[in-house]
Amino acid sequence: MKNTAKNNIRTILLTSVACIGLTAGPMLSAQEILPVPAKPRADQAAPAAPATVDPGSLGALALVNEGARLLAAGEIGEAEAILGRAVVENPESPEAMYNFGLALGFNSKFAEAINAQLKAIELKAQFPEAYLALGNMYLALDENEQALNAFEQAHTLAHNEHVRRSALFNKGTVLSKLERFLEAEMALSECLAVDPSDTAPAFALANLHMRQGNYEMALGWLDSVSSDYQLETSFLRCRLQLKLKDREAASKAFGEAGKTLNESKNLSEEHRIELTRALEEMAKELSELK
Amino acid sequence: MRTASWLMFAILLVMPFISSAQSIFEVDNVPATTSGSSRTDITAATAAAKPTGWVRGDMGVVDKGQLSITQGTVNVRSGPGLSYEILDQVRRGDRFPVIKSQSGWHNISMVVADVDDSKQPSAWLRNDMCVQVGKVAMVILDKVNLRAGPSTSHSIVSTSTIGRTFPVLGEKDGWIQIALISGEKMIERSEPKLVEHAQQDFMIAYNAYTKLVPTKGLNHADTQAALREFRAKYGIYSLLAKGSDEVKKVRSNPAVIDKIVINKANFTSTVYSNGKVVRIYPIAYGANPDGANKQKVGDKRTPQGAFSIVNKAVNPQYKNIPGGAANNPLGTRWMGLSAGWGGSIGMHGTSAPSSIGSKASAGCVRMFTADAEDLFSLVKVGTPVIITSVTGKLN
Repeated sequence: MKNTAKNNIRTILLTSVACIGLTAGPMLSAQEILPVPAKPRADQAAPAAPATVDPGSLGALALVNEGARLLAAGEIGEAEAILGRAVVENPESPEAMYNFGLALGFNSKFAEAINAQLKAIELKAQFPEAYLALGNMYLALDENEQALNAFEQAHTLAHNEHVRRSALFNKGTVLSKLERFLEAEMALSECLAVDPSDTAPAFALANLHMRQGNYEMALGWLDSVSSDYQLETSFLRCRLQLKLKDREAASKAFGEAGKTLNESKNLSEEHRIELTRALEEMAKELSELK
Repeated sequence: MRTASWLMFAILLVMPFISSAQSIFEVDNVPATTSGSSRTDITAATAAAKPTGWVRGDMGVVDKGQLSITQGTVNVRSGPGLSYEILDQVRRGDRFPVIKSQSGWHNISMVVADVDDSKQPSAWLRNDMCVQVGKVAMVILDKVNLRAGPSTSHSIVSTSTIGRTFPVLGEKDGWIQIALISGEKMIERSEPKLVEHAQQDFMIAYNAYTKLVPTKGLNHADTQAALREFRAKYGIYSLLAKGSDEVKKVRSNPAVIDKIVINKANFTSTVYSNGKVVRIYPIAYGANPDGANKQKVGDKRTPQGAFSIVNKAVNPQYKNIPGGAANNPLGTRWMGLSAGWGGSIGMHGTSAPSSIGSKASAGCVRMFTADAEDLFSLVKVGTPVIITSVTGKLN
């Protein structure tokens, strides 16, 4: 599970990088329910665009862009070193500080990352991406109230659709963690209204309804994303049908979950074992269902 | 060939062929025949028509030995080339068995499937009140009179609401003779390409109409002309989509519906199955001119966000108007949404079909009643509904 948590944080951070590059949508936190690695969106998997500060800049500011490029390429150690230099050479650059904060976060230096993002915000008050990154750091440390405040600021300041969607999605996620379900639903709902084709908030809504016991609604939202999240939805659908005590539908869903697991090639051994255990638990529940 | 088809052929001998509701898309791109034949030549040839003919390959698509006509009106010739005489004309949506193909032409059997309508009572309706796809006509206006003969001097034998379908028996003087039974069963499987063409036509016409509404108003002649055009195109799309494999699959298993996306920006409700669009319906929504997200009860705005269908009702009562009544503003179907606002927001039919395509409701999503009935049969409690107002992204 440790690795899973680390992966989550990495996903959060990658999302932050993507946010500054304005190329990606929000991350999926399927782990709230199942230990299944979230399937990255196609645009998340693509290299994030560099967080350029000035396309024509040379010299010291170019370090910021180089650091952003390294971050997007996943070379996080080198990125932190380069961005550290960029911050020293450009103490007044909010973008340098922001990217440095991202690099620190990648390297699990969360407290330092938070400080860096707070400084970036000091340098540039209207910096929604920094608020997003700050919120993600708080989220990684399970400081949910502070994360929520940061996401709300990001939403208020959002200057484009990508940032707005990310802020809304993350706000919905943290509200869900805080069990403020109605507000979470409203945030995720607004997120989907901004982009109805985004499957991540739809999946999150399925989770949310499931946690509240609205199983029919949860099933509806699951069905709406099943082509994107086959493994996750197959397991969740089986659990939902078990909750609904629909033996026939649960059996069918169970069969699909097993088949999808067998056909999933890129799972780590640890995840496969966990999912196999989950499958065994569901088999037991199914056998007890009259 | 069945009685109805022969009757239609006989009518073609003496009557102009082309319905004003259905324009010719392409007729071989050359004059009707190389000998300079006129419509009379066509009909004369039809008299001697054999039960087979040749159709240019790009006028339709072949699947499993069946040719589906994709263009508006297409010549059927006596041989595989433009120099051969025209035996007949067929229409978009018609399907014929392919006997053989050569040189980019298909030799088809002219036998088409018809219902046994010889014993059915018939009536006549004006051809600008309906659209025709193959041998099916769909009424595109509300409360259309169906008469005993092909003129307004004939008595009214019945009326039809918008969206009803009838088998076509023949045509005369701008009137269409129909069998007074549903044409639903005659809607054969439609090729995806055919549905896609019709969908594009519909969206183009619909966008033209919705642009005119705010600038010239609903009652302006241009707007009304655009409305008629959009309805004709929508009728064709709707008919074809109903017969498509995807819609049939969805109808037999409503569980495969992914979601419904209602887009206020273009007055449409789009149904997705396995990530693909399977239906698009035109809608009306909240009458507040700003079209914004709902703020409070009574503001005549339609809420935006992600909701689910929470209840369904057949023939819902509205205040003191009984369910199923012609003046019931909810039409015959109600699909309630989890949108809050006292549980009073939903998708439903209407008693005012002319309002479709405009901001007209108290906040609900209005649809043609026939469309609401169609959608009702596809969705279940729990089906996700996203209401948005994004432009240039969907559809």
